[in-house]
Amino acid sequence: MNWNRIIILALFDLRHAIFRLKGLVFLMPFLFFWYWILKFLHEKGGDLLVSRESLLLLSWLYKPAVAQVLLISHPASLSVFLLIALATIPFFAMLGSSDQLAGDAARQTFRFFLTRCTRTEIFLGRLISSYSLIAFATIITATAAAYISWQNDHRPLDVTLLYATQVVLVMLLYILPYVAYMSAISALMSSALSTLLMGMMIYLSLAMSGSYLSHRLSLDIALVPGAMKELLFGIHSHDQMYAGAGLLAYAAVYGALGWIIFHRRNL
Amino acid sequence: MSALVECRDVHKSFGSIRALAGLTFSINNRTSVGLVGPNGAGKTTLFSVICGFLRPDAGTLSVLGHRPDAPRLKGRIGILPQDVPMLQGISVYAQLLLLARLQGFSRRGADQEIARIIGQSGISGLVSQFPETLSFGQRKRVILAQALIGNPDLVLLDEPTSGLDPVAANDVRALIRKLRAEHTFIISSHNLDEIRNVCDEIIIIDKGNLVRHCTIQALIEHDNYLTIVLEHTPQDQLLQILKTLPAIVRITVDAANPNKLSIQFQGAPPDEVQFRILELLRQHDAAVVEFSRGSAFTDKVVELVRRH
Repeated sequence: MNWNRIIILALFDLRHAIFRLKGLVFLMPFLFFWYWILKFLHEKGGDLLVSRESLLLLSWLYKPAVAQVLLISHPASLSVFLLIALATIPFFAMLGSSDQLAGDAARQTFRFFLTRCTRTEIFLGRLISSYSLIAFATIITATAAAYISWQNDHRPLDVTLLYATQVVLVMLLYILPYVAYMSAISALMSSALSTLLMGMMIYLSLAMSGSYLSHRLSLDIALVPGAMKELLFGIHSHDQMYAGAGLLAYAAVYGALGWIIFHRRNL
Repeated sequence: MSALVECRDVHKSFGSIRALAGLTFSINNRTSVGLVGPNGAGKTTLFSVICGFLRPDAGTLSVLGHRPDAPRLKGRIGILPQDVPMLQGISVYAQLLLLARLQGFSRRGADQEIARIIGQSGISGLVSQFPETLSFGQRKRVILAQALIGNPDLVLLDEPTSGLDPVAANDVRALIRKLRAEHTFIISSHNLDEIRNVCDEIIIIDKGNLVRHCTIQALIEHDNYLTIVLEHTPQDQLLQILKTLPAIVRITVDAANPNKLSIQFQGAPPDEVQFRILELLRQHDAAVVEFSRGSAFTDKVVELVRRH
């Protein structure tokens, strides 16, 4: 495996994704959505987020201790940003990484690359570029959220920055298994749209099956990375470590599956 | 001479369709080979298997001493694939630059290499454009140029001149002839004159099977044949008289061109037979437009495929 070729492929793909449909189809709705949310946080956040009603709502959604940590201990605007981000990452990550392999494999464009690099290099190049595009857009929105939090929450800058860094790391970790998951679907399909639809359909089926089985068997059955979400903002550090390891395991399993499919596929 | 491509009992099927059915042959270094066969014979599939785009179901294939998908082979094969689009919305130059970088060139080295292949392929006016704005022929020349980046040992060209205007097609043939000493070419084409002009050997396949693998010369001169093109279609009476000449075995009139005769003879030197035939045609005022020794290459290939 030649890492130089992987980086060349990833940088080329990333540079051109921004100006092509495959990048714009993700960037446009992503940036519009976050512009709207961040504008709301900037204008209506602040005291509203640390109100009794907000605390009650979060306590009902999660646990009172978790709500306390998110809204009282940490800058509230950033916590709300994190909660919304974790809820929307599955959709946006699927949207942003739906055209990793499928389109070029169906159009046979990979034939120009295959005499020059291995399938593994192409696979990793596309995975890295898709991840980087989503990560880059996420970091921009998180930076904007951190600025709003610093303005609204009246916390010291170092506290805001430290928490913003944690938020970004959690989000970057949470994106990874979704991009890897879409690499597996994309290795199988023939277009970005069919990859997106198939990815969402399988994901929803797995999520509902996991929920049903957990309820029936009274066990914690996590078939999708979304099951790790609550642990990510848990109040104990071992919960977060467990969630981090789980997300990496998901990414490894999905990535390996995608690699196997892409290796066997006729190009 | 060492075998550059070694194909042993290679099978490839797509569902119930057998594209390659136990193909066995070898190609030596610095040899230009024409790959010929009817539509659906398995030519493009064979190219795809050699390049590692498709995996054979059975059999072994070695290219430059390696498996087709071996990392060591990367950058040593160039291909002009059939009907494969370049990336849209990205300039030709940017794409050539990417391919050169993937082939191991530094940024500066890639620029120099692209300048070299632009000059070699005559595409200087095309590189600043987007592939979707180019005509079919222009795109083909650009894709041919990318196949030559980095001087690969083996170059596979799938229908290199189809869709090109006559001038551009001649330029491509001239380029292939010029580069024959440096590369091994495998050229798939339905244009048999082109194969005859630029290749040393021919591989004829049909329904995924090998029909014949030999040198072009062996195919043309193997039998005692003369090919004559007359100015006017010969009358039956003239054909009957020709058949009465000593040593003449068979006279075949070309189905597509009734002025063209293929004459098979035996038991007499070609010079003598040639003299007698020309004398007879002169006596009957039959003007000869073209006269060549050996069977018509196209006829021979068609005959081999039909017989298979």
